[in-house]
Amino acid sequence: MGLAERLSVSFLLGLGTFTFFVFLFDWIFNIDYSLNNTLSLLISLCVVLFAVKYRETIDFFKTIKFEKKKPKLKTILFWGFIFLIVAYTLLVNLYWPISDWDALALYDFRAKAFLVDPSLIHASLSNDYFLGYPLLTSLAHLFVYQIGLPNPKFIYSLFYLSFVCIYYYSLKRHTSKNSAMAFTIILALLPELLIHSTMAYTNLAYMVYLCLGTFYLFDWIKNKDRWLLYLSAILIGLSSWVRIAEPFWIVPISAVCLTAIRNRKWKDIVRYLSIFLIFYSSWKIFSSYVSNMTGPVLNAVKLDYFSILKNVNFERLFLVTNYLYTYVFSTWGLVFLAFLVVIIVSIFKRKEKNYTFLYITMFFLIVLFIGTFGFFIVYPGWQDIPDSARRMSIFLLPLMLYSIALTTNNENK
Amino acid sequence: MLFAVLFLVFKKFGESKLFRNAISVAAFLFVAAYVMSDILEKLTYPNFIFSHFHFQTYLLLLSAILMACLFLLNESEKRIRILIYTALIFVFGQYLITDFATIKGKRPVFILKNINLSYDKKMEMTIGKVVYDYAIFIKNKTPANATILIPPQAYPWDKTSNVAYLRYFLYPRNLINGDEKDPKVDIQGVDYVLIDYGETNISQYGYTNVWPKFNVVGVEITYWDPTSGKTWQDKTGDYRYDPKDSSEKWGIIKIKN
Repeated sequence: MGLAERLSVSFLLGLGTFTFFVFLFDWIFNIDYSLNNTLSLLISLCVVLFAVKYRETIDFFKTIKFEKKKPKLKTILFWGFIFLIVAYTLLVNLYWPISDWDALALYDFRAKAFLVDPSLIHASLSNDYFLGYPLLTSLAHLFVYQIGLPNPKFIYSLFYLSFVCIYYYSLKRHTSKNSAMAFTIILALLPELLIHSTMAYTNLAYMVYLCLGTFYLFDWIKNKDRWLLYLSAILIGLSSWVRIAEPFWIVPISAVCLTAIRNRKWKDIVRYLSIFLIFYSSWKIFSSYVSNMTGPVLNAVKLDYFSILKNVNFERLFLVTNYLYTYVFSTWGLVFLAFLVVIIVSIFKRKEKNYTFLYITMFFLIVLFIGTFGFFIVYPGWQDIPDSARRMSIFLLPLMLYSIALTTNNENK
Repeated sequence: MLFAVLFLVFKKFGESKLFRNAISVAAFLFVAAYVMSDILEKLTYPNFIFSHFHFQTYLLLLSAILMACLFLLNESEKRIRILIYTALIFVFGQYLITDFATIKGKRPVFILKNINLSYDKKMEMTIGKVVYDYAIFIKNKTPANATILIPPQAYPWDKTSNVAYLRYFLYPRNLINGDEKDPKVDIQGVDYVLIDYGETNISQYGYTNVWPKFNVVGVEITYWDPTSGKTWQDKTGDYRYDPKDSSEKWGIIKIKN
């Protein structure tokens, strides 16, 4: 892993785990969200991590090398282009205050509420619709406010930059440098990604954690390096620390189970699940703990998997397919077309190449379909929120582009 | 069904070179037509193609997908790769155009020209002057522990009736929704009642502009002019709803001392 990729991963892991521990300490030890407490916790976490891994950390700084050779023109142009887009998002984020509806109603509101009432339980009990989503972005906003900065939106530019950076280096490991650059530029220009990089919503953070967790999982499947498995588990766990209602974590967990069973390494399943569940179950337990005090914290529709199976028929399948095509797939435009072409190619040439990543992406699509179908069965107004369906599934675009890049590249490593 | 018919035709004539070339051309043409229509909508407005030519752009994409599937059944890897790369080049162009519109919408030139604009002015520009200034007016007129009665959650009060939205500006004040024609709660249990004309002219559930549509007896009314920001007081505190008077009024009624 190069320095830029390490820094990007560090930012994402640091922000995610730090906010998670801030939440845990408040809940378990009743340590409120004051600046002194959060700073003490941050310093303690750094000290503990350094103590555990001090030899590797010192070795890293000793062996780190900065490339002295002159970069090629195309590399300069590539990074210049990325820098320009990031500079634009930073300019917008530093200038315009948070004003998007859901951010005012929930994500940023919670940060503002914690400034007045720094106890999570108390704040949750005094405000309706407070625990609808986990707290990663809200606690990140809170920390920015606490250190005296007026606007936390720059965090979303850093999410964007980290994502693009890791995407490039991850793709470069499996394809040629030119292909990695071309697909990273398409990713950097993804309209959904660019829009969300200047909005204080959770969709970008969710996409970043879920996609990167999937990329490192793919690396683990290929290389069997256990640290990649841990990294993937933490990133997928953190995706549930951003948005917990979506069940897409099923896909990486299933992929780990299948790989571990094939390799007869059962402990990998336990390792992956244990790390994932630390993040996932903590919020679940906390939500039910608060709902026991107040009544349900989120009136989310609960899916009954047996009723989904009972209600399958051709007409309903067609309705859901039509809905998904009209409001989700068609908005992906030619990326969707190219992805379908790649799927068909993979069917004809399944013995010539390794299509593991493509199959993982297809599994995500299947989960999206089943989830929408389940929603259709249990919720009469299922068609009323096409924008939410589109926003929820934007993480599939980077995955599809990644699959196309892996399939089309001649130098597939 | 269309796909099934096409598939049958393809099976019958699929070996013919002329037919295969026709399918290739059709696949590329549909891709190009889809991109053109998409770009046209980006340059004009979202429903431009449907309003002029009476078909949806996503159907063109579906046709392109069907043609591409037929094309794939009997094509060389090289030509398939050309199709994918062509699609991706078009994607690049589409994204550039869409992103240009997004970037323009965030007004980077305006930002550079007005780098020192105040937070209040920026909020007025992003969420609307009336809504933001009214929220600040309410905040200035009420103590932090006040309970405030606001309109029922619907248009024409889309933002000022939404508890989750409005509380962002008024926290830790407690906000309660009333009904259109009655307070829904014991009026003596609240500290303030808004006089909220409505920031839109849209009707929902039969609700129309002007709220409250019931009489309120308080101790003092402060009226607010959204254009000038000026305020004036009515010390009688007696708010009388007149169904014939639908003039624009904004303010807040103090219920008790």
